[in-house]
Amino acid sequence: MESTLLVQSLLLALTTAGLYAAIASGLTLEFGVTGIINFAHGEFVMLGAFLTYFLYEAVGVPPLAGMVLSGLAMTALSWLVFDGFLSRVLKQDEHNQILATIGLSILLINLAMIAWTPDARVMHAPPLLPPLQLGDVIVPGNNLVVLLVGIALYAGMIWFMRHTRQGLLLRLAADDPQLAVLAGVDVTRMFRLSFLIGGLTAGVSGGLVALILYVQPLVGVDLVMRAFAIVALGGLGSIGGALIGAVLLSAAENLTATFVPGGGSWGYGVAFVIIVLVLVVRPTGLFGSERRA
Amino acid sequence: MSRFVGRVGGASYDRLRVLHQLDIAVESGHMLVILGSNGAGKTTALRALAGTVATSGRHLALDGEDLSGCAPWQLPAHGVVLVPDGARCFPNLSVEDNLLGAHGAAAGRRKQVPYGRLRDMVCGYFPILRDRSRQIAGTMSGGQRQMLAIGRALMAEPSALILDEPSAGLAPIIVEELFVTLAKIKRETGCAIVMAEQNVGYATHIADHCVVLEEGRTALSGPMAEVVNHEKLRSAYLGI
Ligand SMILES: Nc1ncnc2c1ncn2[C@@H]1O[C@H](COP(=O)(O)OP(=O)(O)OP(=O)(O)O)[C@@H](O)[C@H]1O
Ligand SMILES: [Mg+2]
Repeated sequence: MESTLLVQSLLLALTTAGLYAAIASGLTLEFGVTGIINFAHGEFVMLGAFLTYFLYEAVGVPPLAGMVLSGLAMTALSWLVFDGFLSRVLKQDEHNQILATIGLSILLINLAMIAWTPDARVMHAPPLLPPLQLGDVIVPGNNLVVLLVGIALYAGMIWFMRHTRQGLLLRLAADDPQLAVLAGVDVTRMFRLSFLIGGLTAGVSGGLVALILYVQPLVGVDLVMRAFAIVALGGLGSIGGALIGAVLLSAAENLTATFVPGGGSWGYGVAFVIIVLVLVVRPTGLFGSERRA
Repeated sequence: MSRFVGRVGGASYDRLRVLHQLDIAVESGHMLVILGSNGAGKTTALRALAGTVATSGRHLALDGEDLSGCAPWQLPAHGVVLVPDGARCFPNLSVEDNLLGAHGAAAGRRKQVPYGRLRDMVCGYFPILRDRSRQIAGTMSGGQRQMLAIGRALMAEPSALILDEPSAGLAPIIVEELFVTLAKIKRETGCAIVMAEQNVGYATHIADHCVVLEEGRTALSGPMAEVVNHEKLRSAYLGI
């Protein structure tokens, strides 16, 4: 019995890890390239979740298509936000950048509260895949979708960075923006591109949120806090570390929820404990190596 | 026959003027060396040419094509590449990715030579880059990084190559090797080279023209041979 519970808990953890990895790698890509910690990243996920939800409930767009549309919509919104707003604080000091993205985050949350109330909603779409039965353990179909799409987003991002010309230029801009300019890179364009990719993955991740979680204005805050824990674990700016960080965090969270009495509401706490522990013990992340400046 | 012409009108930091007018012109396959002591304004002059330091009256032309309006990042695609001082590399990328990135970043309207051929040419000049292609650039020695920095610039197939003190911090024997290679590069690729240097001795052997900067002003400008043969000029400006 105990062991069935353990396996079930770990399998569910694995599926949410796909979602966490997709969200965290977008966040870490934006930071790695521009140096801006985008506290509003979670709100792009939240908006993507609402969009997928309304597209299904109000218009009948199937959730998978809604996810793609949410991704595109958040790409467009990221473009607006970057060109209209973030590109102007890029050259200012870090405090201003942090205030700017926190301000944006609060603004988007408040707009969502006004427009849609703080109530939690559930998308009533039929599961996209049949459940997977492994012995005594059952993994719901939507969790499988979250795992597959999340991993696909994550792997797609890694592939883009390693195997395309634009990905290579992003890496140059991330490593030394001034030198990248001298090499011929339009660094402002690369900064924008990192936010467009971040927005795309956040929007699609929002669709995943609508599949397995409640849709409500504060859902992005929950998720971005976890993403920070993951990024702390995997190393700031390291997309590669984001997956390992995501698996570790969601395993820790699910095990707490399953085996600690009343642990279901501790998810957040676990994330914070991890952030604090990593910062104290190994500030470059468990898997991050010292980066050369 | 390509010809690189540059002029900067002056540059200031915090209203302190450190550079007055500087004019340079280099033919293809030739080298112009900018000499001057510490703080004379060499780095500032090269940055002003590249457009990363604000300057008045910047004029840049290659083969008669006016490049004055180009943003700094557009210059490599037009054949003008600055190698900054300090042997800078993309420190967290491998040697191979440094070269590949420079090739990708310089892609513009010109038809590019394929990456493999250019890399083979660069590794012909600097064989260490082939042996260390997978090493992370930031872990290489200063001399190796300088070779990588120049190799990276060559990946853009420059018609004008601008080098800021490539010999700084290198052992004398490595400096000599580097300058021999630079002479070879200028002969074989036919690019025009502008190089800031303090290493007067070596520079006089491979440069065709020289400009001496003193406190941001051009104190002397002329063919290297003339300056070296003219005893008064030689002792006054080159100190040799
Ligand atoms: N960013 C800066 N802010 C203020 N002053 C500067 C800055 N960069 C250079 N300077 C000043 O401008 C003057 C010229 O500096 P520059 O670096 O161009 O000299 P240099 O000829 O390249 O010297 P070196 O041979 O030591 O490299 C110096 O007096 C220097 O202190
Ligand atoms: Mg200098």
